Amino acid sequence: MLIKLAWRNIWRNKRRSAIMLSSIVVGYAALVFMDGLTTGMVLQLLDNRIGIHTAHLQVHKAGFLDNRVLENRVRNPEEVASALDQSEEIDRWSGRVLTYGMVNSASGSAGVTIVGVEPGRESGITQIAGLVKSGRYLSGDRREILLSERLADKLGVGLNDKVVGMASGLGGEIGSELFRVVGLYRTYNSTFDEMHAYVFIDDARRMLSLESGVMEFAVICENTDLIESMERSLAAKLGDRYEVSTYRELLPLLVVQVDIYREMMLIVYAILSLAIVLGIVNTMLMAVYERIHEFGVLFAIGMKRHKVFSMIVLETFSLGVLGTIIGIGAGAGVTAPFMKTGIDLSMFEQSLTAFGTGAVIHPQLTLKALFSAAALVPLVSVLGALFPGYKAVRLEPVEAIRFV
Amino acid sequence: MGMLVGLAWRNIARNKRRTVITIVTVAFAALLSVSMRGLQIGTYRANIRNAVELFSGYLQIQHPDYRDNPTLRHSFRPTPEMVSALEDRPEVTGFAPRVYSEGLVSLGETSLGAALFGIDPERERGVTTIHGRLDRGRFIESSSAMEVVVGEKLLENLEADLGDSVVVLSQAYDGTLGNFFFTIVGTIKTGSPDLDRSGVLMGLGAAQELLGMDDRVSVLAVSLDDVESVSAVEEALDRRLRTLGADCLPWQEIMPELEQSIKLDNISGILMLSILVVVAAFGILNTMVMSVTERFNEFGVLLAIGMPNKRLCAVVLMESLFIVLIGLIGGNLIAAGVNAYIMGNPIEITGEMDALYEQFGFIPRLESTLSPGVFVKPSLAILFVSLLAFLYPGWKVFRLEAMKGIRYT
Amino acid sequence: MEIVRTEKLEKTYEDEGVAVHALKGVDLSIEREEYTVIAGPSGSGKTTLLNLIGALDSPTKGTVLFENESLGDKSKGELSELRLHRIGYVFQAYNLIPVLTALENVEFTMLLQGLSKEERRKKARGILDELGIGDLADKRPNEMSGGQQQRVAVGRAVVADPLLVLADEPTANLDSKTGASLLDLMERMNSEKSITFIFSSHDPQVIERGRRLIKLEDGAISEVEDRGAGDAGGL
Repeated sequence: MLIKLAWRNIWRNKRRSAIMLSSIVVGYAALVFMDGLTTGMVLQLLDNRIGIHTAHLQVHKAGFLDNRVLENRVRNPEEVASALDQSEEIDRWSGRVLTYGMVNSASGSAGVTIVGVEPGRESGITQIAGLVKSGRYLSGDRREILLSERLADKLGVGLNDKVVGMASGLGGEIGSELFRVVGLYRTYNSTFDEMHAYVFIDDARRMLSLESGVMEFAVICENTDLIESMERSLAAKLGDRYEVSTYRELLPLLVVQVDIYREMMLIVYAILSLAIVLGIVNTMLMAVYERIHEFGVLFAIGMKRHKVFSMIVLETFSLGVLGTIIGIGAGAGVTAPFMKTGIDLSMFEQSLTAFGTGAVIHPQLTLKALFSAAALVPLVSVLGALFPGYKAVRLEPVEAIRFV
Repeated sequence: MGMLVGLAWRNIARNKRRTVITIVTVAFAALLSVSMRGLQIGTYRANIRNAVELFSGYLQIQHPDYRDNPTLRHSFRPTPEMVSALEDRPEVTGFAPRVYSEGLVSLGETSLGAALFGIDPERERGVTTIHGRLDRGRFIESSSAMEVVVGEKLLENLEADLGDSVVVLSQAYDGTLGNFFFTIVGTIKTGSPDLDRSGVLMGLGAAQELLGMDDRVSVLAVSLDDVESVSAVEEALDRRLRTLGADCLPWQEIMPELEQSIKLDNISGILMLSILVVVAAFGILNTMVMSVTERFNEFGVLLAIGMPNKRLCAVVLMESLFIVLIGLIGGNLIAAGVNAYIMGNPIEITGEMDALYEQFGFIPRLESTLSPGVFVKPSLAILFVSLLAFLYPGWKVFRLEAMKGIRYT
Repeated sequence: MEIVRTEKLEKTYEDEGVAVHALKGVDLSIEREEYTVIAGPSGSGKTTLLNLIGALDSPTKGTVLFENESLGDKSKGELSELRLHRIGYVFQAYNLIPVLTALENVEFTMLLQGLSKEERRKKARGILDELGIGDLADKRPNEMSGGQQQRVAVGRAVVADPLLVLADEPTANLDSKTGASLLDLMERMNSEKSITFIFSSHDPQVIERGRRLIKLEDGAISEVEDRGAGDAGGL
């Protein structure tokens, strides 16, 4: 009977119930959206860095990371290549020959990392191919070079100009090649841009007097969760002669950044949750206070106090549950469309357009987010009703009726 | 008008409970958003401070063409006028001259690419904390001694040790190749892979000799008393220095990635803040609606005896304004206390990464600030959404008819 | 002199989906200085009729003429003005503004009318004294009894010299003695200040003392009774 009464009470005063529901639903949706946003931010932060060069994993000859000399190159790339091809979780990979060298033009010179790549493979690993602002990406033809706009400025060259690449090759001899600038790229990271020039892998080998060999394998996994396990299984397969590193080991500073960001978000999350709890509690508080005189009438006609109290709790709990269900829908409804289109942060801050796609955040909806608050919200709603409910049942009926 | 204000005031005093609940809601919203913003801005400032104090400096004075083309050709002589321009600014706490170049460092058969930094050890101490990153050995002691401090990875890769003599080769000012022997006296570990793998620090005088620079420098790194001073000082110095043939660049242009990542973070931070304000607005809306509908009977009588809807609306608006303003003031006061507390006791971020952070010179802390913007902007946002929230109940009052009000249940 | 006239007045309203015909065609005329009671059982439509006369509601059919001007032609703002300047109200309950003192409550309509502070004060004090409740001037409604509150309500209704005062069940919440003295007050206002009074009530005391009685039954006038010194008027 109590349930029937509680249920009808909720529907009787639609305005009040609507207000109580709305504070729960809005709070819930906000929580879900925020969670999606922060998860998306973190992924984007990572993506920005690893998408330019690092990729998910890299494989090198053991010792290369500490001393990037030619002697530490992978002499049998087929070994590594087949191990990579065999793993299902690996989506694609690319081999690189890279070295610190110089690029000279008629009017200037710069010390850069010259990266020799297989264009077909490399374009799927990093965003560089998509960030070519003028000209085009490497095609596999000989003697093509891809520079950043910044580097080109520094060297005073433009498309179709010639530059000379120089590096210390096998045996200590300085090798050089003439290249034609076929394209100019720009990432959001100008320091990176200044330091990296791309050529066809065979050209790089020739410049370094290498017959064959690869210095670095860059690997992209099917999805980011698999990275750690992939590292272990690859390391096991390849043995001591090689070292497999995840992006975390390659970009420790980034990891630190992300961690700090996550901690910060936790605090922000806590603050938002507090605000939501407060909103719900205060709405319930007012709603119940509003009805004390009505409860007085119930006492007067003989309803027992504890029954009235239970009725109040039942009502707010039901509203809490109802609000949670709607809130889950609202939260998903608000976040889902942005998952696909993403939120372009450069809308808000002009200078972020330099980030390009890096400024577009795709919120991630996780089941965890949707349901973690599900248990709490009804309880929080009841919290708001407890104090006035308690007060109400302590009054004499006549006081309750007169309550203002 | 005065009577209406008095009416509004008494109305909110009358139902203390409802008023207090609403004020507390607003105050809490203000408290949460101001302290959150304080944490964000305070931590950004601390990060910037750490970064610029490591090596880049808050500002750098450079030759106008240096930024786009950082070659030795674009070096300059610091004239007395330039120096006094710097010394005239009270915010400047010190400045240090430097020479930058690229070259090779070799020991025996091994040659590696190097980034050369000629610094004045004395002056450097007053401007950056690079000497604190000494890992082994000792730092350079004089500007002219032929000693170097190298990145620890560079030392490893060269298979060298402290005390070894290395050859440093670089293209000099006049285009010829210069090379000298230097003794490795120490190593640094900064966490920045570039510095650790290819950084070579030498005395300014030694660098100028190696590179045939006379008394020219590549940059003057400047330190200031506060991150806040950067834009004002930069503007002033830039104006003055342009006439003297130099440029003044703020850290944002020297370390654009740092600025970009802070901006990105800031925008997401503002998004979070907006979500918070929206949630708070809802709470405020609810209380406003409830407090208005509760009084429809009274309002009905007022309208019946001839009070125009507009005036009644004005009274209710004033009530809401009072409540919001009181809540904002209260919330901001408490938030000021919270921010001040955090300023004195920053929140340490704990985790397994502690040791790693230290290694990179990252102080994993969240700090706060009492900068006015942190108070004013969120408060204005809350005020604005409260006024927006008022539109609905206000509209209801504006359209209320006497009879409907009197009969309302 | 006629001040109010209704012609074929009808009012139907919806109550939970059911159409209620509160008034089914009422023609009546009110003259100055009348002291008239509209009586009838619950649901007879007397409050509705009062509300229509008092420009608080608008008819479904028919017209209400106030000082020869049709209320239907007036805008909301004009009606509000009318209620402010020409009509006074005494309701059954919730008459006074809870946060104002008796004096301030009485001053309130004059404030809305734009009178100066001195004038308002003088008139308000004056009326309170006349009504014998001068000592309540600084008290708030929650510090007064029901009867005292109603007196203050009468004071507010008459202080600005309205043409007409409408009272809807003014004695309903009062005991008979208090009710009687309230009615004394209103009769005095009627004779001393020439204010027309129209009551709606089923209280026998009120009905007994009305100089003209209009009986309503089921939304239509069933009987009109003229008693005592009154002007010719009626159907």
